[in-house]
Amino acid sequence: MSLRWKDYVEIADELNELYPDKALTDMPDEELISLVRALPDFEDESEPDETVLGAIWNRWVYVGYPED
Amino acid sequence: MAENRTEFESLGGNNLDGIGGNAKKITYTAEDGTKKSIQIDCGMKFSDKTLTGVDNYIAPLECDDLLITHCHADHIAGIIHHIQMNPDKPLNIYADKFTHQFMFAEMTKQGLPLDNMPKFHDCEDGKKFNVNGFEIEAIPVTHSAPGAVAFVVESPDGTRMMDMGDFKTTKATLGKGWEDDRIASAFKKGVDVCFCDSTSTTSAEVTPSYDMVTEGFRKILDDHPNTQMMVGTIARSAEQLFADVIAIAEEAKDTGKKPRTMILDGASLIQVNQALNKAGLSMTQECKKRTGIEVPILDAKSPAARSVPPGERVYVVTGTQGEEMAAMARTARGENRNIRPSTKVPNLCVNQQAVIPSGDNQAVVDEMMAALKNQGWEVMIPKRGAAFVRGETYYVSGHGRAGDMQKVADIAAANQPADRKCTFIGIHGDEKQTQATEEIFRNAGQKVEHITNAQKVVVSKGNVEVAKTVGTACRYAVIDKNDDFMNPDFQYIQQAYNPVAQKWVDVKEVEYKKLLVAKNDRQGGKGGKGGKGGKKGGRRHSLDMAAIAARKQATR
Ligand SMILES: [Zn+2]
Repeated sequence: MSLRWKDYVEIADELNELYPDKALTDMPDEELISLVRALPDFEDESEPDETVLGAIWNRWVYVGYPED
Repeated sequence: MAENRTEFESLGGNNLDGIGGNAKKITYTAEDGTKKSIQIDCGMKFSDKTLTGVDNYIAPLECDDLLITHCHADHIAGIIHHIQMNPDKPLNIYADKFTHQFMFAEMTKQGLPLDNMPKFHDCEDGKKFNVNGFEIEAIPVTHSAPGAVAFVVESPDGTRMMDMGDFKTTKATLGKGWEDDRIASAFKKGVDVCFCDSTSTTSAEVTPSYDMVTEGFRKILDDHPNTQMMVGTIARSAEQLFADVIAIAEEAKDTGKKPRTMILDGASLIQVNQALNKAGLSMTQECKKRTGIEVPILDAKSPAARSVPPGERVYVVTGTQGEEMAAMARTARGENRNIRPSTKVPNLCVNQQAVIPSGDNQAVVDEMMAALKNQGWEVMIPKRGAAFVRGETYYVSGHGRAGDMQKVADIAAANQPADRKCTFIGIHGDEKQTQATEEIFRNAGQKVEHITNAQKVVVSKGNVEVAKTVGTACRYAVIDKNDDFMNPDFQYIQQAYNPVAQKWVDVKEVEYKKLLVAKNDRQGGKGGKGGKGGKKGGRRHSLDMAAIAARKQATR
């Protein structure tokens, strides 16, 4: 199944699997966008808005750092 | 036709058994009987699961329009559960920008689909806004969480009610905070009823400002040069953390040395830091504005953090109450890849939060601090209720004490119109605490009333009256049947308070739509990683639970 921007939970999981040691503090939006676009099953031509980027980032922090 | 009126009801937070689950509803009833309501806050109350079988209790959510005073769990943590119980109900949330950023982070962290996200509206300081016929003004106050506000709500009949939120009356460190003038001007325009946070009113004096934390933390820095430090904090109470940042900057300024580097380890700290940046409250920038010094704030995962010399590292971690998966407990168990005691310089752990007297906290924290000591960390933890001493105190609460209430009473007395005297009512506390608040206002010559949950305050034509009959208070028990906060299986039970039996009784189990996605849901499905993260045993169990349980048994 291909991923679209709004599938932020799945996107964050994939990012975390590919880049488990990535520091997320101060990551520029452009970097996040290019990492998402490079995911093998990501297929969405639309431009992401601030909300969806924030959602991906937050969920990635949650799955990427072993803490509640 | 009946007279129009405005009613306030404490939906939660005026509990007989302690603080939490704060929620308040204001309703306007027109002459023709039509009603309009707004709600302020929708929080949760902790529960000791070993005694109750319940993880926590949440307040009801009765309105589509919700004002939020600040980002603490006792004011917001009910919302996400109500969204699961009522996924199709529209919800508008009005809050300060940081509070909004924080809430969005919390909701996306738990995987709430974007289609189910509430609509967030930023309250702009100094700008009144209209919600469902009520005119609202958000006035900044000082609390441990940045972005805390009091709300003045003016109903269509002109009744003005002020919910002070959680507050103290000294200056904030980060962002706007309490200013006497702002509260004075609210009273000047007339406030019919003012609801006051009573959490710490049973203590004397004024709660000190965070400048006292800066001084105390500065002393710790001076006493521990060239030391690897680990500081335990509560992420969303960032006022305290920022006081530490200022101390680091001042040390650098006075010694002429490079400032120590703050290294954040833990999801909630990384998220709060980001929420502050997005709200225009970057700690690095704000500190630079105030001191001229730029304190580096890094992520523990970044390569730059690893190249900081150990003696210049100030790790910031969560888990002050011994929460099992938080960085402090993991460091104590030797499981934290990012933080290990240095063999080259001394190690100091400052747990910057007193133990919250609830459940097993004390035993768990003692155990954790002892384990850190065994690893070679010198350990410090503040004592709850200790006297404030300049240069020594490095933790202060965000709640005002008796002196802060006195200050509010004085401001009201000096500013309220002679023909529109305010009535003061204690909220956010048990009976003893709310009555202590009311006592202070009574002694100051102000009008005072007292309410419990589900007891209405009715204002009609300027007359303030407390309903003689108390309604049925409602709450929801949240039970995680999996007993695993990383992979919960929720059950929600609606409860009603029976005043005769003086206990809560179950009404019904509430069906819900599972919208939240646990951390392990997807990883578990894929195999390999499943079961790795979510250790059984809930939220605040850190080291040797069996030993703690045995000790408890022995002391009973
Ligand atoms: Zn509170």
